[in-house]
Amino acid sequence: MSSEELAPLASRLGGTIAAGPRTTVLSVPPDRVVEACIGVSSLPGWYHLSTITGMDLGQDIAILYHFWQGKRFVQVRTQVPKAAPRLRSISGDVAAGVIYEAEIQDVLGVAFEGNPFLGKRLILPDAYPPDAPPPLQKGTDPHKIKKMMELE
Amino acid sequence: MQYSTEGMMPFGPVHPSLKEPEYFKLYLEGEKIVHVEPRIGYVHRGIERAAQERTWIKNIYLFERICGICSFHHSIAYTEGVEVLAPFEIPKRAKYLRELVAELERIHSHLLWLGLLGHWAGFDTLFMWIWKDREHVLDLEEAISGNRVNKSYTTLGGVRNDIPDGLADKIRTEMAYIEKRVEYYKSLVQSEETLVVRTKGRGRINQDIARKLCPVGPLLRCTGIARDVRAEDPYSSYGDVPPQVQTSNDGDIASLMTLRLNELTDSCRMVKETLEKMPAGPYRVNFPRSVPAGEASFHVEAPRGELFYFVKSAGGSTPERVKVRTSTLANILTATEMLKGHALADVPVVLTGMDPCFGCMDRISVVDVDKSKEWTVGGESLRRYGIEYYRRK
Amino acid sequence: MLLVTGVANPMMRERLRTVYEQMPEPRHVVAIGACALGGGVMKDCYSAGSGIDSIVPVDLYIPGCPPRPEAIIYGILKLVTGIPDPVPDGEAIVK
Repeated sequence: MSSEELAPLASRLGGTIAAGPRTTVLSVPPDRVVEACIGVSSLPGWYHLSTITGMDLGQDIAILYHFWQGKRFVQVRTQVPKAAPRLRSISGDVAAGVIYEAEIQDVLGVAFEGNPFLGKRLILPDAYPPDAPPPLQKGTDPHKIKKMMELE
Repeated sequence: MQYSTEGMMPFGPVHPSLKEPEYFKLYLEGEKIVHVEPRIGYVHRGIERAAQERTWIKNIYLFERICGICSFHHSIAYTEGVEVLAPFEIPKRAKYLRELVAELERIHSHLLWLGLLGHWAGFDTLFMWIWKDREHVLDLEEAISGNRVNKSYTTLGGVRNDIPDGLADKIRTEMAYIEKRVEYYKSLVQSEETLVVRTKGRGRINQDIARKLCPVGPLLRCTGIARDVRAEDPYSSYGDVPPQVQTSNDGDIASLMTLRLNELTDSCRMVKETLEKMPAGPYRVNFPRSVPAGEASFHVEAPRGELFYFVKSAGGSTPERVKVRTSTLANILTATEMLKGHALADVPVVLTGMDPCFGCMDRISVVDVDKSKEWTVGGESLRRYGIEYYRRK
Repeated sequence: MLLVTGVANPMMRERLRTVYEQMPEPRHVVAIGACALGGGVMKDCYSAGSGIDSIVPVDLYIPGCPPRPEAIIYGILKLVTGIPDPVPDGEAIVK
């Protein structure tokens, strides 16, 4: 999937393209992410959503949608402010995303509106303290969490 | 559609015969499953977070313990991902050695699965035979690396040790043995009625479902789609010793059996070919303590399918972020589709058919929608129920 | 006899306790593997326990990551036969 093939999609969505040795990154604003994923998954050929990664960048949380196009990774990338971590779910259009979004909901506290697991836990234990910050956010101390769950 | 949760049958997460704990809520209408809700997390430990506080090398020991069965694939996905990030070129011999052990791991994993399938279908003799054969492979892995699982064989910059001199011949002998046994099992699964009845037509998926839900590995290939990371995005020495990508067409558990048996034969071929073509040279070079800033996505074809790692470095001696997406997590949605329309008696075989590894991912609960009844079923009871159900038929 | 492997994470904790309480006496618990012993390599993971002996009383610890099958058999035999083990006997059992 070359940068040229992605260029029309990028300009339509107000995004930018960065091509690395193995990955082409399409960065878009958060409200265009669903369209970007639909766009990438409808390009000719077989698409495969490998996973969705969340990363705490400090003030923002980056969400990376990793698509494998058969020869390169195409990564749709956006970020949301930590103070308001909300995104629309892609699971209505790219069904495979539902599990990966649910995982990010648990570990980073991002809410994917429309995801059937919103409000429910997929992987975090029930005993995870509701007032504790999500485990993969910077500043969350795993030892404190363990103490709160009486594991130490 | 909302289903009442009153007729709930929690199955698991701990039962004398459940290999790993998980929890699926099955909604039944009459005898048929109409809806499935997974709740995983029974082995969620917090590894991604712990990885941020360990050095690059120490993380190998952490990640390979995510799963005992595909442990080596976790370690090569991580080490090769970091080596791509650095970037760092390892000696050719090391790449071949990695492929050798990776294929040995695939062999032991598929054998494990087939034995388990036999056990769940009520064919314990098959289970015992196959697991005895599997011991041959585990002994090889131990001779190469010092441990049967969690081998810590790979390391940043190569592998930890070379194969000892006499071992190459032993490997060839054992591969010949395994190939012979696999041919026998191939004829057995076609003819043995216990297996055929429990697996033909069960858990059927097709290419449309695969396109929508993005499963990986044999679950994808049993619908006829020939996609394998080793062929599409070769790592280690798979560019020189590629797989012959196997597919089967019916999308059911019987297809999965045939497919995995063919993959076994192919893996034996690859082990022998890797030995033949292995170049001389060093097996390891020193890797720097810190990794330059950057990100890399990397995937390998673990026995259950694509295993994906995303690694980010901030330039230090510990990673800033490592994201692991295991094959079984990618297959959960497809597994829930596979279960729909089946009777409770089919659940053990269909669920085993997707080759779940919950240590990789992270119990079954049944809801009877009509009767609004709630009851608990143990794994062993469900297995026996399945066997009795088919005996009566 | 209850064989326990792995860290007991919070989801498994109550289940482990329940299964133990459902066992009729005489009952024994065997902790197998470094994680069940004391958390193993996962000790500082936020959702991993620090050994199952804080959840159920343990009669036998079998170390290893993973313990070899021979070690598991040896340990369980020792528990079942209950005699103190001078080393020569141990080697005979393993062989």
